[in-house]
Amino acid sequence: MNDRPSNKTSLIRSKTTLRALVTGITFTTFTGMSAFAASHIQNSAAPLQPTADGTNAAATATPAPTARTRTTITNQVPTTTAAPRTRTRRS
Amino acid sequence: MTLDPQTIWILARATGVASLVALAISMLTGIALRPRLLQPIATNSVVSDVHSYATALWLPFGLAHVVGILLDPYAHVGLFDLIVPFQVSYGALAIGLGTVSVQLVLVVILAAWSRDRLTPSQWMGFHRLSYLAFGAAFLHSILSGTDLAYPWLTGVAWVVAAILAIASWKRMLHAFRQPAVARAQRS
Repeated sequence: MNDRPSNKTSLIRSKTTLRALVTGITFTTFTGMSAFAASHIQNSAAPLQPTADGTNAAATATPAPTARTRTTITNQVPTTTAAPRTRTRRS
Repeated sequence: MTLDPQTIWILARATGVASLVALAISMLTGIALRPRLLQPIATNSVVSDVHSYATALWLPFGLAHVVGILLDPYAHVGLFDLIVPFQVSYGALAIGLGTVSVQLVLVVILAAWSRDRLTPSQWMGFHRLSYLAFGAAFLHSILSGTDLAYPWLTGVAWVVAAILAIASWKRMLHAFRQPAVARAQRS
């Protein structure tokens, strides 16, 4: 007795069609994840987080205040209102 | 042409997820062959063809993921970590599982290339290492993946894992049933 289902019941009978489908799924994932990762550079919920000095460290009970540190360069000059620590001799 | 660290980071993440998806497709089409699980969707010859073809999809993405992580200045993963797993200074288990997965996949690929020189049982023994390779890759992505920490993607990943687990269970049942059917037909 042959209990194998007939090939005629299959939706896809072309190798090219299934190859195209599988390629489409993979490349859609790649492009989609590229776009998603570009707009979500950091994920504070990620299991591995780098420390502030740039070296990675596993997440601990107290999460680091800054997640994966990727420096953004801006044209702003940092300023401070703190008093100077050294004094120069005034003439 | 040089890629800035942010682009490398984005590509490393995207290729990692894409290679996992293609690897899952390769696994599913391979598991489905004997018990003809995908018969309603595609004929067995088509499924077999796509099982071989899927290697051409996950292999480049997997290699790109490994190269991306090696080049990422924030990841601090070196060539030595590709040879000896669990040696990275952070997330040793999570990253080490990725190394183990790469090494097992290499064994499976080498066995496939030398199939003519191996006995069927030897080849099958090596080929079955792909179950371990996928398991290690899946755990690696769950334990270290930045994107798989997003609940929606974690959900998708676990659904895919559940489908593969059910398919593997049916494949195992089929394997155990076959000798019993053969014995019944002989008697």
